[in-house]
Amino acid sequence: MAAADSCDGISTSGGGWEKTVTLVSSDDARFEVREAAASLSQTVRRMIRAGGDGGIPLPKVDARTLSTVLEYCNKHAAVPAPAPESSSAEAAAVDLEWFDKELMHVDLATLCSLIRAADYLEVAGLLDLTCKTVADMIKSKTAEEIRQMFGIQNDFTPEEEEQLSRENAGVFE
Amino acid sequence: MTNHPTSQQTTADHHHRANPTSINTRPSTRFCHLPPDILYRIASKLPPKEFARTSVLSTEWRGCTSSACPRLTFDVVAMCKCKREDLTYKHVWQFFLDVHNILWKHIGKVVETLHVKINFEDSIFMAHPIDTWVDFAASTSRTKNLILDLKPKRFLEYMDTELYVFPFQLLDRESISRLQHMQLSFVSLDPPSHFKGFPNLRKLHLQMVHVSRKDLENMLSHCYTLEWLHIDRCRLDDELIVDSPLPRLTYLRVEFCLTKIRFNAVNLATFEYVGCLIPIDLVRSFKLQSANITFLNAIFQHVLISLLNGLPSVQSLTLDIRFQRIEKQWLWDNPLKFTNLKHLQLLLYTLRRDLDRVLYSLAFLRATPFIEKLEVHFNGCDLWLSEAGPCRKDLGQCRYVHLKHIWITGFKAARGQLEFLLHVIENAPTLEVLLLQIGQYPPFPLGVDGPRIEKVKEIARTCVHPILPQNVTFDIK
Repeated sequence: MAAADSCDGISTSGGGWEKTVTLVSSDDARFEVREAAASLSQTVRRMIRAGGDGGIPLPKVDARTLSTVLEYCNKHAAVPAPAPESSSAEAAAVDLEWFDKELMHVDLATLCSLIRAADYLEVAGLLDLTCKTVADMIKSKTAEEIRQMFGIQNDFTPEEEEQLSRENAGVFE
Repeated sequence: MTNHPTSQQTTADHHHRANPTSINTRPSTRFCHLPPDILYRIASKLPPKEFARTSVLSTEWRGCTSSACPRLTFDVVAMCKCKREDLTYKHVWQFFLDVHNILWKHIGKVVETLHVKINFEDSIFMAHPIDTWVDFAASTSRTKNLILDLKPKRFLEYMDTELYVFPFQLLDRESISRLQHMQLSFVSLDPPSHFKGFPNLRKLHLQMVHVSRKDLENMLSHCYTLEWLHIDRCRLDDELIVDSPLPRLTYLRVEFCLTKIRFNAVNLATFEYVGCLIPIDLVRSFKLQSANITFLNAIFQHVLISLLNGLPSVQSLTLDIRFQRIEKQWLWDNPLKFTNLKHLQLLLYTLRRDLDRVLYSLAFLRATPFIEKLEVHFNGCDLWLSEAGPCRKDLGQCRYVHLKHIWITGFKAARGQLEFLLHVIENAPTLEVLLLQIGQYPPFPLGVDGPRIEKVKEIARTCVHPILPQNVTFDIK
């Protein structure tokens, strides 16, 4: 598909010409991406506008995480806005849902790196997806299970804890 | 497409992926380092009770979830735990007290979404509390999403009732610019003369809102960031012309309240309309992907011309005309075409007096030279084996060279239906699939005996088979 030999920032994709940009991870890996896909990141979009040579440095994201982020961007940038009535749009939406689900089959550490990267790169859809995934893991677990799962230290005194459970009662009935 | 690192790393490294069920055994301390705003973002995706529970996890979690709350819902029926019809003033009074107490507990917190659901008729003797809540939401809680659902259950009976007057005077510039999503039902909007819209509003749903044409046009013209707009049964009964560009608007739905619609929304993807046949001008929405239109009481040919003028770029169209009439007119001289229409779904209701005019619905098809998929859902109990109307040989030439897929339901072997079908088959050289269905769509009991259904099937097979190319998949059921 996308050709890597694009010193002028243009590559072929599916027979057409598309602008590409180069992103540089914290560990100096260079990724050549379609501009439309990279622009899903508001951070990158601003940097493209600002201009500059030699690729866009992303010092807060390592290559492994960046590759997953770009996998997401490539997939999502390829899909036009959904038209609920048409069956092809429906199929595309289902496909996208599957893709997202598959992409989220990662361990917790990776998921957290992805959250941090999506936050830094401002990829709204991915940030939403990753946070939702974590929330789903938390759902219907006891406080102790959640603490264990995420390595959270319970740093409340017993008095504080009692007060907390009192405060929470009733408000969200 | 894959990513291409142009030096060192390989990217297609999926070995680190594990089944999420295995995470319980691998606690990660790195998780603690997520910043508070992310912890809050995660927690806010939980249901309200579970959200509240996260504050017991640790002081860090408490810090980020105690200062904000994703959503407060005040639904009088749910909170009083009784049926709508059993509500008494006592209940409503208790509801107001409870809401007041809950809001008191949330002073100083951000409340992202405030959702109030109470019939305004119940609260009519005290509009004041709702004012207080809106004030609370706007100023103290920095609310982004405001939902005031004050409509009575049988709202049509209350068309002349007094509505809740939206308290513009309580909102300053800052709180107005914070609002991103508003749903207002049974509300009256009378903005002050200097009002300049909601600069960051993305989603707006107005339902049974009383507002003047001038105020609504002025308000919408200043909502540059609007992405989603639904105007439903508002007390307007006037034109709505918004010529200022709304470049982010992708979804527009209008139900029953306007006499003309014009928007300048270049990125509009979806348009939905229910109501009388009115002039709709979305000519500038040249990327319109789908339109779903229901007209009441309209003449078929008038609808066609109106849509050709108003939605020339639509790619997928669903048209449903209730109480349709159809004229004996082919519209040969119509030069207009749908330049992007690939998928057409027609719901045609045929009355007894129009039995001889079914074939004239071809006038629509002649305006769709790029059609790929055609769905026609016939409806009408007089259609069974009717022999009224003209034959297709009266028609001129018309080719549908891209048409691959035909699905017809409610097929009752009326002459108009049969001639319609044969005309399309004869003029669709690349046809791949033809599906005929005697049952109606949406499904509805036919109320006839088996022999008649068999007769229709036999007629269809006898007429269709001789002219159908061999490679076309054909089914009748």
